Amino acid sequence: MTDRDRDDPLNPDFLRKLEYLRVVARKVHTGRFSALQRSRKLGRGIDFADHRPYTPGDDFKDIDWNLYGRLDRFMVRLAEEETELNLYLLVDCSKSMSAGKALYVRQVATALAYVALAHLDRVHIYPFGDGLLRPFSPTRHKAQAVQVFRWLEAADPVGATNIESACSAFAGVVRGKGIAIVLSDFLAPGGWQRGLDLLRHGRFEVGILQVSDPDEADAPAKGEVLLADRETGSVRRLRITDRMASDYRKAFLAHGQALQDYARAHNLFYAHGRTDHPFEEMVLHTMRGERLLA
Amino acid sequence: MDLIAWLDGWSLTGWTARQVAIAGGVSAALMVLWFLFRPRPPRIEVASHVLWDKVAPKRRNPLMKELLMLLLQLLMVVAVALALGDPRWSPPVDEPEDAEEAPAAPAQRLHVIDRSLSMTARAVEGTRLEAVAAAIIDDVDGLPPHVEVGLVGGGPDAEILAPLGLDRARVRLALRTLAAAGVGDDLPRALRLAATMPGRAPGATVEVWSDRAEAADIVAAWSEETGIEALVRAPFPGGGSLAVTAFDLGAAKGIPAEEEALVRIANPTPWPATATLALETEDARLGEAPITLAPGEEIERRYRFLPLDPTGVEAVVRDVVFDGGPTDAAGEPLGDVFAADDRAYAWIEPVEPVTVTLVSDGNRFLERVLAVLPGIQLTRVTPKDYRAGKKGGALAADVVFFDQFVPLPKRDGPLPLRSVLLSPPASRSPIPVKGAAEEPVVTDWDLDHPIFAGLVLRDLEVRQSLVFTPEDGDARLLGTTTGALVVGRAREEQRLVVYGFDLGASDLPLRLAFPQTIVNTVLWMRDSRPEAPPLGDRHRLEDPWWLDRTVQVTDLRQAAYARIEGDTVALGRSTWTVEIGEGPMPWRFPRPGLFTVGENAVGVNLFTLDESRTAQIPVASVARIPAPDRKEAPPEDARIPWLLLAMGVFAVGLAEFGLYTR
Repeated sequence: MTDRDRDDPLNPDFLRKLEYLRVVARKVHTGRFSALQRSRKLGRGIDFADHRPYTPGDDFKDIDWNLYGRLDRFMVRLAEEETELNLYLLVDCSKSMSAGKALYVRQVATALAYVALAHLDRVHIYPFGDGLLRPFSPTRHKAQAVQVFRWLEAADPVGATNIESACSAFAGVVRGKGIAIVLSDFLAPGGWQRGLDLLRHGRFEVGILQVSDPDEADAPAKGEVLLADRETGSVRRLRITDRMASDYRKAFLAHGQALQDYARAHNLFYAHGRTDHPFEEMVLHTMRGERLLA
Repeated sequence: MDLIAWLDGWSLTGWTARQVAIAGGVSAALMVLWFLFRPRPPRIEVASHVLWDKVAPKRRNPLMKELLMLLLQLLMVVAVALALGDPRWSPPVDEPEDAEEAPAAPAQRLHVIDRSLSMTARAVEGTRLEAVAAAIIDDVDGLPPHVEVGLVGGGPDAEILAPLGLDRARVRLALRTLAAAGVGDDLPRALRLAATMPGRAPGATVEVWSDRAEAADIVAAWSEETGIEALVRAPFPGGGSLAVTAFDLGAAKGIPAEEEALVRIANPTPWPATATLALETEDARLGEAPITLAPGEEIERRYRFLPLDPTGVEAVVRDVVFDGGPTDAAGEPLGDVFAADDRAYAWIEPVEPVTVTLVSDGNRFLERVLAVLPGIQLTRVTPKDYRAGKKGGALAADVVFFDQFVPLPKRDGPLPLRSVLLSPPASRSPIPVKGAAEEPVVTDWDLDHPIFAGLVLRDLEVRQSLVFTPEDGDARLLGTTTGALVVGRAREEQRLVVYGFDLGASDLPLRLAFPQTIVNTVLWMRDSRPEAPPLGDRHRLEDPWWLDRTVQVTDLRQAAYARIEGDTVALGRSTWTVEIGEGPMPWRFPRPGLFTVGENAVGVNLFTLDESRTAQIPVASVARIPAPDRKEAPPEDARIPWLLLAMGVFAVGLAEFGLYTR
């Protein structure tokens, strides 16, 4: 396998491995169309759920004749209905997402979309910057994963990261329930917690995928430097001392730790992806370990 | 006291206001330029400032901080420039009501100090320069604090030692480090420098401290020309000094080869003197002799001694007593007060030995005489070897004796320049042969020729001899009735003596005159060598402008000048220099002594009486200038000490550092 194949989320070997995975929801969501996910709906299905008295209009096929023999009453057998799962991928397309981070997010999003589409789940891509951008919802077929990748590839970085604004808009627009995974570096000047709270309160099952470049973990240089913010273009003049560099390193770790603590407190999926690590590791190991995929 | 009066009380005692302004302005301009064109830090893109805002909270305006730092730096420059100006505040002097009628007290006093070498002569206590320094310090201490004092150093180079100002400490420091500047005193130039000193007011008085006899006349003429009142002072007595005015070493003529030293000593004083003259090397004393000199007399002495290895030799005059000369307070004679001219240096070169080559199959008379003569280096060569080319250094020898053998020019090469032919074959004789004589009677010999001068050869018996016919210019040294038996020839560098008879065929070797004849012959031959410069000539170093600039000058006697100070050994250093050479770049040596310049050893000497005339002391040319009334010194708290300025600079620097690192 070449490096190019390894970076391509659509290479056949990788897709073959994804075939065996599915997106696992920690809660039971009810979709509109039947599919392969459990739902709260009782109706036709394989897994038995309950009985209820027969009422006119019920299908005779649903009458439990064995129970009629014992009770002499017509009882209709109910089963858990299997429906589709809505997977919402909120992809950070702000300018803070470097080329490395954007590629990583694109690869992971494509892989997740493929897994979901392969199991007839519905995938919704919601890019955001300083607000929610035009979404993309591919049809339910795993071949549409290519479109997801290309669509994300064509998305231009725009604005600063505003997670609160994006999540607020998302929660207002999207009525259906499902899993909402936010893929971002979470370096939002306005913070990220309120935005994630909005998603949680909207009864979405929230997932957090934090992405960072390896060189973001440390101060870029020592001494007198002009630090240019990629999102806003503003420049700060700083004299980076050893102590300041150490403080920055601690602040970066605290940033990730805060996300992780938030996820743990609310039983959310959390993963931290570094762009110098292969994205397959995130998909095949980390997400499976965190039980987002199974 | 109003503000104007308070401001008027300030004056700069260090650098002048112009110097402070220039230094401060240039430094400030450089700082502003640096601020404008300072290197900018590198620009680095980061994803977001979010984390950096947590680590380093935002400041209002970074440019304000930089401007504040620039302001602080300019403040530091101003403080340093002010510190160099050494501002002092003196309380204003209350003008007397009748100030217009009273003569104005001099507000400035300039001291011009002769720093020529003679000022290192011994005074009553210490040197004359030390006496001058002590007198000026007394004078300065007695002045009111508002009187400005300045120092000008004379000597070969005039310079300002302390600018006009109120800083007494600076004047004292300059006086404590006062030292002779070299040989010669350009007093008019020093006076010109004093007249044009920055800040000099028209009422300034000038005091000239000099031991130069003509100082009074020079200063008087200068005062008349410029209208500046001046006083010549010399707070020390005169004293005598003998001087070595020439010292040279060279090879003496004679056998054995000896060194010859020539020493000239002068007595420029009005008193007769007796002394001891000694010749010394670094390790040994070669000899000493008493000398007596009349007033103004210069004597010359020559001494001979056996050759030494190359080394430095010093001619030293010591134990000098001037008959009727000055005495100290206890009545003891002062002796020689100026030590710098009592010692002269020369480098001794090896004396080449007398080299003689004897080309013979065996001549016991000649061999024995040459063997017993001292200092002769004899080389024996047989005619056979000579023909074979083994000439034993004959061509470079002082004398070559050819015994019954004459080299053929075509076969054996040319005849050496200094040759003695004994009984040469008639066919090869360079002197025309008239014939042969049996038992010739010696009728005459040349008593005026160096070879036979003073010898008696009347009854010389010769069994058989060739008889020569001398050519024009040849000397008939020994003759018979029919011709010459011995002929001498001196043409340009060639010396030739031809004996017509064999020494064994005469009784010459048996006579007392024989060794003397040989010695005379050798000396006559050696005299034909190129003349060395006569002793006593002053040898000057070539002007060094064409020399390699990396030529190294080493003081060969530096260790001799070491003096022990407690547990340490310090090298004595003279501050004056000696110029040698007359070109655009004369050599300058730190003092007389023995030096190597490149690979050549050089004896550097004064050899001038200009600095040795230390006996006559000038008298004051004008009356003593009355010192102004003594006034109390300003209280210490009225001054700004340097410490405060330094602390201010430090505080400003600290503030800037704090700003920079925040």
